[in-house]
Amino acid sequence: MTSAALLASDWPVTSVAAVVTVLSLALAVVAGVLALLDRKLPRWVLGLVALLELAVVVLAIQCVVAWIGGNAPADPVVFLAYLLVVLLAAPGTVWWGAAEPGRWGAGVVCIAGLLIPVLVIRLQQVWTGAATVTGHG
Amino acid sequence: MAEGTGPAEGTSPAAASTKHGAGRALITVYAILAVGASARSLYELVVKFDQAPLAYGLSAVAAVVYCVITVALVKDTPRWRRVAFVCMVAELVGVLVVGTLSVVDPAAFDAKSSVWFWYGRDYLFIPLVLPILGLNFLRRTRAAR
Repeated sequence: MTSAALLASDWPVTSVAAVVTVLSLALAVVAGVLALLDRKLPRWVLGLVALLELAVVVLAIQCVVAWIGGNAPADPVVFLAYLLVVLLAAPGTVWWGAAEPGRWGAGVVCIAGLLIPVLVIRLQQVWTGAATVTGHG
Repeated sequence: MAEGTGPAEGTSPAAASTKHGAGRALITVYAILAVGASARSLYELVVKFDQAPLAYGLSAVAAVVYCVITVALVKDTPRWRRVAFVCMVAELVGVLVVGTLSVVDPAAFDAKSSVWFWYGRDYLFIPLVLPILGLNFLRRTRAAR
């Protein structure tokens, strides 16, 4: 353990994380309704996805800035792994879902909308060292 | 595209695709679990395998199973379909056996760190539900006799 882990690692992005979570859940609801109505993804949903991804990028940048400023995550390797996944989640699933003509294209995007809030919670846990899910041995 | 994108050979009608429709959502969830379980397993194996070889070994097995199922569903040929079926059965057996063991004898799973610990509680029980949905999907979409 480095000395950084002994310091309280404050979660530096509370408000952006909240924005990401709200946008992501909104996307999940919209895509979920579209899937239930058996509709394919309209283009404006892609705008919502772009907005979400923008918020995720801002979150990532703020984390890195805080890190450079000395407020380091408790578990840097795991944090970076989660950060990479959360950055790729929306574009990856939209690429995968948009190629599907039927309702399940929207279904895939709905899954992404539900996944990202969970990832954000895990990001915070790993940053603050509250992570117990992986077990500290 | 590679082989097997066309209808299956022979007399029986082709099974429905595992890559489209509901299969697309299934692949999405399996891919997420594959990434999550693989990353977690890699980390455990490299950093702290000796702390709990059994739990971490099982995590690795689970990760491999999820990866194989994801690939098999994307490949979408009759042969890969059988691979997916076998792996989903293994997945279901694994989550039931490991889940039950971890509830009955938690001490054996000290580190609480198999994906299948407590029937996949850390993963919102998705590891328990997913093979059931997957097997049902394969059954619904298999070739008509």
